[in-house]
Amino acid sequence: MRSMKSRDLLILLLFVGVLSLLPALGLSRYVLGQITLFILWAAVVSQWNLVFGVAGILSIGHMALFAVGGYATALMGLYFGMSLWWTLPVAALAGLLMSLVMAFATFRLRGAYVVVVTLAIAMTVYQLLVTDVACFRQTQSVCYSFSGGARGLSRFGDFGFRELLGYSSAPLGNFYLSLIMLALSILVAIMVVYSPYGQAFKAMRDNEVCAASRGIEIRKYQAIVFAVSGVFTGLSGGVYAGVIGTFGPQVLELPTLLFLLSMMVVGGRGTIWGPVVGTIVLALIDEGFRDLAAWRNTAYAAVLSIILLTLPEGLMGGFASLRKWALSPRKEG
Amino acid sequence: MELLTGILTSTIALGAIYAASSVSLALLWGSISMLNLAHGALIVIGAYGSVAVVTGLGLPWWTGLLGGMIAGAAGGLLLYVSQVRWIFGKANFDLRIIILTMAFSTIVVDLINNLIGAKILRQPFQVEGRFVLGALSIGHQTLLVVCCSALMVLLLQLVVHKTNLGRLIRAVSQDITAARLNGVPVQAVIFQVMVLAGIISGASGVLLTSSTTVYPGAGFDPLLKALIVCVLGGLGSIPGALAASFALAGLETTVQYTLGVKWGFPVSLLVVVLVLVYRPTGLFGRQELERN
Amino acid sequence: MTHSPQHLLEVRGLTKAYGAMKATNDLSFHVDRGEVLGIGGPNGAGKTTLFDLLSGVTPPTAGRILFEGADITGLGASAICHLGISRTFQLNAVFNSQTVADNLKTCAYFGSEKRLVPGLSYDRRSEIRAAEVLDLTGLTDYADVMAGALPVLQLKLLMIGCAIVSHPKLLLLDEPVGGLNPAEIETCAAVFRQLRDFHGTTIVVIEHVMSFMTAFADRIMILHHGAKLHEGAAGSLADNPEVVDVFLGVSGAADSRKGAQAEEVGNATS
Repeated sequence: MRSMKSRDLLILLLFVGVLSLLPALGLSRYVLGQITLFILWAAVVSQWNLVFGVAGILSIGHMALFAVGGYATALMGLYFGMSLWWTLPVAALAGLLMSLVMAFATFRLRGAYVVVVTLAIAMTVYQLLVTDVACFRQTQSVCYSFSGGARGLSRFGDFGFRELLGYSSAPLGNFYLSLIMLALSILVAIMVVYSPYGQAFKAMRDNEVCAASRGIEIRKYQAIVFAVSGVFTGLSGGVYAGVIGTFGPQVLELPTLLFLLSMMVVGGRGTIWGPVVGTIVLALIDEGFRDLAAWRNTAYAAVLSIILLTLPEGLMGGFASLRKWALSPRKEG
Repeated sequence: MELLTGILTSTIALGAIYAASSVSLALLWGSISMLNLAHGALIVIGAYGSVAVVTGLGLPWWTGLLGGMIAGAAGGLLLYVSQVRWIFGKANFDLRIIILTMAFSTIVVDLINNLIGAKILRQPFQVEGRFVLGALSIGHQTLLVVCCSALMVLLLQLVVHKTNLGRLIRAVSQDITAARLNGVPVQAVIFQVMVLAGIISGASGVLLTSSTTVYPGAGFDPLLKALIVCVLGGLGSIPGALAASFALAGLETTVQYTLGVKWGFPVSLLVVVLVLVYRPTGLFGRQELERN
Repeated sequence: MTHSPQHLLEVRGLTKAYGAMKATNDLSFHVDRGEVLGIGGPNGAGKTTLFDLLSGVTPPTAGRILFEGADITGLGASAICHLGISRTFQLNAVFNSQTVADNLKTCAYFGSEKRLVPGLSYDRRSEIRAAEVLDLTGLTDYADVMAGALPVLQLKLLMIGCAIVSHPKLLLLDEPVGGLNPAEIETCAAVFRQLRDFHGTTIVVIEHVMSFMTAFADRIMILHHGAKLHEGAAGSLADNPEVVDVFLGVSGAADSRKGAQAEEVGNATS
């Protein structure tokens, strides 16, 4: 187990090292922006995977944790004019609180019940946001609601990279901040998975009754896995809000949910690198279909369906079986 | 008094619609353990089917329901052919089908957006007039929806409990291996269940949109409500879904009349979550004996 | 080993009702320190339900369970494990996605005491205990194999290993040798004797293999419809006509006598 942990830490180091060299390729502003975005998605998915893949709690409302983190940052930047750096701890705290709500709601639920209840909680947050139309602040002739309603929030500040690095290099600041977020997210995932906590989560997933009989307090570890994931998902939401510059209820919509969920499942849930592999693959597919315009979602969903129909354990599972097949001695003739 | 009758009639109308739309989910979960997130897509397909038959072909308004059923059946068929038949009984079916049906909905909504357009249409399955009896005044439309829903639920119960197909469905739902060993053509049964669920979803789409409007995303809200109804009733239990439909409809209308329309869904969800904390498998769900 | 005046485990009027069906019906018995109590009975007699109640997997409808004199009725499974009662399961109950060694470490770490705030790595003691159990069960060669990929005997041994690695005072074994051949049964029995003789572990065992049971147990209790049908020394089983009637059958009675004799011979030679 220790050697596996060192191996994964080494891969992480190499992975982050390679990514950090990407801007040296002289990428366009658009490409760098897209990479930054997907790096943040990978950070979210790695944390989601702790709950969904490692602990086997089928929460698909995870974007709610991300959303409250992002809104915490955006609202505090907007109404208190705070530097967004100072809002990040609050974003993490918001993610934590929302994750504890999820944990409480699903303590005794299993399987499809968890899927439905977590989805419903996320959609309730969505509905409350888009129906928030009461006038809260007036600028000239336009009236904005507290949360920005369906349009979301914008112009709530940034991380100050423009002043620090100049206009043309500001995206680099955002890129590296996102990369740090991803490195942190994966590092936490590795530390958790190879610690007694991670073993307890996997034990719950594999056989809950047996885990309880071996001294693992199920609810406690359900709450812990939600809490860890909530802190870092909320934090990612805060970073996302500052990096992208706008934040709206769209992050809770079904296409986004499907997109992120499939990153995890296509890659291989429950593994450290599955979510990362899934994100890379889906990012490439998504960009490849950019020219399809209105048919992009259809093409994307179709490819996703084919992968899911053919690979029950995702790409990582596919690799593993392929390797097994290649290494296994075959009969002649 | 007026408030009370208002709440009561709204509850019955809403509950009937919930019932009609959630029994389809309950049927699929109960028979083949499939959480069908494409239910919303089937609802929309049904709603557009009705529009196509009545507005498009110019047939009388009441044929809309049949149009919705046929379109829904086609949707269920498509879902079976494109997804369910390939992975049923394979590894991770329960999880994969959730994401696959989500992808299916995405494709359906996209297709409608691109081929028919995103504009909001009127559901032609409508009747005018009101039924008045003393202080009670109910729109003919409400009566129609309630009657159609009741009829559909009744027919489904007849199919499940009185027909040969129902017998096979129950065999498959109890023990799929035993059913297969006893010569039940499992794939054929699943196929028929999917088409049946499609018909019900499609028809409920017509009923649902007759009081609102028809647009590509019209199925999402009903999907969410049907899901909540089903977990409250106990996944897979048709009587549970019926009871939960009216309970939730009553709660939602009461909250909407008192606290405002916006809070209807959040409050019902909160109540459902609290109920589930005490009864993790819903009101009528199978309380499994916890064995390893 | 300290000898307290009470029994290690005492069960009074234990009842578990599922609707009208009583899976356990007003059952009272006790287990003394260091003894091996065998539990037998036909299928559906409520043997596994009894273990579920004792180990806190399901709460009883009525009755009390005393462990070392303290009332543990209604405690959860993890709390009961921390008090020193450990059980095995009939069906495959290991953590399939962990290696054999990790299974044992996890069970040692979380099972031996309540971990308020677990550390980020296993403590030395858990690693030592896991290594000891690998040795005791002969699973050392399988240490790095995923539990889900184990052959049946090794799987049974791992299930037993997971239960004993937390050093329980009372071990509940649910059909530990069911489905094994005689040689494999002997491998498991050697582990149990080791536990009983050198670790002083008190054992309650459910088993259908009567020759194993009469050879291994000091006392035997037979359940029928959730209630006690018979309780007595291991050799006395075949003498109770009721037991022969509902459970053993005539050939089974002969089998059970043979097991008891073998045990006597074994004791005489050792």
